[in-house]
Amino acid sequence: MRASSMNDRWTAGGAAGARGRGLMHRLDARTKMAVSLLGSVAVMVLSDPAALGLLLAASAAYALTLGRWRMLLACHAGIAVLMCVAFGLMHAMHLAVPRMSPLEPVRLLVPFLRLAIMLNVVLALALSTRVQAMLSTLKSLRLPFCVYIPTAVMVRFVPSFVADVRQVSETLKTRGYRVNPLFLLRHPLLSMRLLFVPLVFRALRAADELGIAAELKGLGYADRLRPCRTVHLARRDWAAMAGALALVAAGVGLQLRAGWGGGGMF
Amino acid sequence: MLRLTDVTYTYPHATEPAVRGLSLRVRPGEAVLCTGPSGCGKSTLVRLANGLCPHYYRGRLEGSVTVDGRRTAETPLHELARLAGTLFQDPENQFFALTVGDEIAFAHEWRGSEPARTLAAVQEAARRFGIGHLLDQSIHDLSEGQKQKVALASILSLGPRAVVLDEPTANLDPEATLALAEEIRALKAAGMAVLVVDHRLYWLEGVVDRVVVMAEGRIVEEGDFSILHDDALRQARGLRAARVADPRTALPEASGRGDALCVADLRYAHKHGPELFHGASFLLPRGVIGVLGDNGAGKTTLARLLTGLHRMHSGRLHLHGVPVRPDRLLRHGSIVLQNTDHQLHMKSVREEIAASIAAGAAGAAGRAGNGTRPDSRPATGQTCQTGQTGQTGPSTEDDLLRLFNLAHLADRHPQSLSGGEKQRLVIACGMAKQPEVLILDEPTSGLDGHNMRLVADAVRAAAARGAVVLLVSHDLELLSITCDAALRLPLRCPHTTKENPQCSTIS
Repeated sequence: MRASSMNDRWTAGGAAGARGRGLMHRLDARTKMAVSLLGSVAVMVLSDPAALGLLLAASAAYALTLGRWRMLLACHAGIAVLMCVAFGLMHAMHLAVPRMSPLEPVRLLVPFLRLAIMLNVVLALALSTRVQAMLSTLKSLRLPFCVYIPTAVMVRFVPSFVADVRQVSETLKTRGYRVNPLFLLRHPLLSMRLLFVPLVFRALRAADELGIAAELKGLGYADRLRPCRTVHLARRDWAAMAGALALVAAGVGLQLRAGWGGGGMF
Repeated sequence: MLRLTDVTYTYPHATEPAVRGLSLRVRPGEAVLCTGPSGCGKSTLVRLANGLCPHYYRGRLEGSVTVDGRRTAETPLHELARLAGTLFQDPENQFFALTVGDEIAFAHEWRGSEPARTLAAVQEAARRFGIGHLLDQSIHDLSEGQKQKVALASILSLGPRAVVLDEPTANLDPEATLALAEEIRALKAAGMAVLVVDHRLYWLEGVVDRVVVMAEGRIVEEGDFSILHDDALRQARGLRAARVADPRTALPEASGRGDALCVADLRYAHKHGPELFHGASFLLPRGVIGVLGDNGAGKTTLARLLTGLHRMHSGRLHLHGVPVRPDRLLRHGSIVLQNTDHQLHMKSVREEIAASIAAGAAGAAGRAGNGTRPDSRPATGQTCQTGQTGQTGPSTEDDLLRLFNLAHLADRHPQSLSGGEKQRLVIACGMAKQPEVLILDEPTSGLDGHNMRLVADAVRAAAARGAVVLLVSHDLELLSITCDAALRLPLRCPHTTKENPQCSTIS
């Protein structure tokens, strides 16, 4: 996860650095989380291809403000490949079992539209939000410790885990193992051992270390965390949330006009 | 301030106490050093002082431990944490937040402090340690010295009465070590009780008021720092040197003294960073070469470039006059990285070494097949030759187990070993390949004197057999007893092809 909002910065330099980035990086993590949540609710209740198409276009525009169009293109190309495979398989099944009526291509499009919308909003969140911003957001929600701590530990653990995976793969290289698909097929048990044993032990050790760190920082002294800085939402955050809400409302309108048949797979 | 009276502590499921009959007192304004061989009970002493034993580790505590007059067994851990702060060997392990400012604020926020007071505490700690400009920095991007400062700032911002430092210099360069010594003097002057647990001793002369030496869970010697000048005591207890001359300026320049490993026109920059190596060229001889330089000079980066873990922007590599691709150098050599946990995979210590020998043999077969260099590396368990001298080195599991004092641990799971034992095991695995180039990154950071000398002997033996050993280390004692020469960073563009016929041939 990358740098994001600037109102969680300690120094003027840090805030200026965040301001220098694009719109997506300047949105508050809470805004992006709200947009993702709204997107996931919308794709669950909407099934009209026109409504989903509208949301897809809007979410693509939202994600493109990241400036990572190559990555977005690659992800969407992946979805397109999956869709083609699904179309091909459905057609083959229809040829093999003629009693099975062919599924309308437009209906088959629906799950992929949903997938693409979610991909856009989640990528925008993940690629523009620092883990620290997520932690600050959780902090600002003033959740009870029993909710906050497991969630914060989960989020805090992400960069450590990524670093561990990288180091384990480097170590295998230094030891002379070339772990590639062929090696995995030829030595499945050894591969499991080489990849997972250090990761499992690292995870256990990291859990222990974080537990000790939490205890020594005074966990248990109070029953609720008291953030030292109140993070306010800016106008752009309210505008982004209002825009997202308006788009979902428009989608619901399109769905109603086409006749409500919300939810379901297709 | 910090007082242990006749303390015996036994971990859960352990049959023997980790420490027994321990009595120790650290008064306000006093600094006490506790040292001793690995496994002597120093870590348990730290856990007793900060209350992790018995609050976190459970176990059975006999006798009494008090901090500022409060018995640790009866005081909640969050109260004790405010009375006695603990700085661990790797401060990153105790960071909970991901930026410097948030890390310092965290403990205050968890304690429900007024936001204004928390902000003031962060700013005051940042001012005191000169880290104001780092407040927005990610903790992962800090140097080891900076991490130590952040951890200390976080601890001291809570206003503790005592501080416990657990091997605080294991990852520090000599300059950061001296800065820490100054900081301890300042803490003493402020009336704080300081307990330092460390293998490295030289930096504490004139800093600590008393020294206790532990062995097998007991205090066996106690006195002022001068007791550590007794060679017999240090030898008997496996301690490190009490005085170390800084060898960094005295070591001769390595580049140009031999032609075993040649690097030509090396260029590399980290992403979004300035160029770290700008057309650097150097020739290295066989022997032990210390890679020296300030933090951020690129010592570890150079090691990673030479072994293909980072990709050079441009550059050429020749081993004994034969061109080698950096990602193929590992077929001729080994690199031992700092973090041991990631390097251990097998079910037992013996299997771990056997797997390394087998992987080395496979690599040797690969390079023989490539025709880069004639090679006659044997299968696992046999003896092979290395380098150019024709001498044989330890190449069977048993040889390596004996050499690194791991024979008694042969059937143990590698991940169950202590930090020092793991460190010896990963070095043994690195040497199992009988490498022509051996790169060691901070190989002795947590080792006591006995084991540090054991590793030093093994490194010297590898060099005597003809290997080029690159030692990336801040450990002055290790550098002084092992290195023949130094490669100093940043690398200027000193050795032109005209000066180095070897590189000229390459060009």
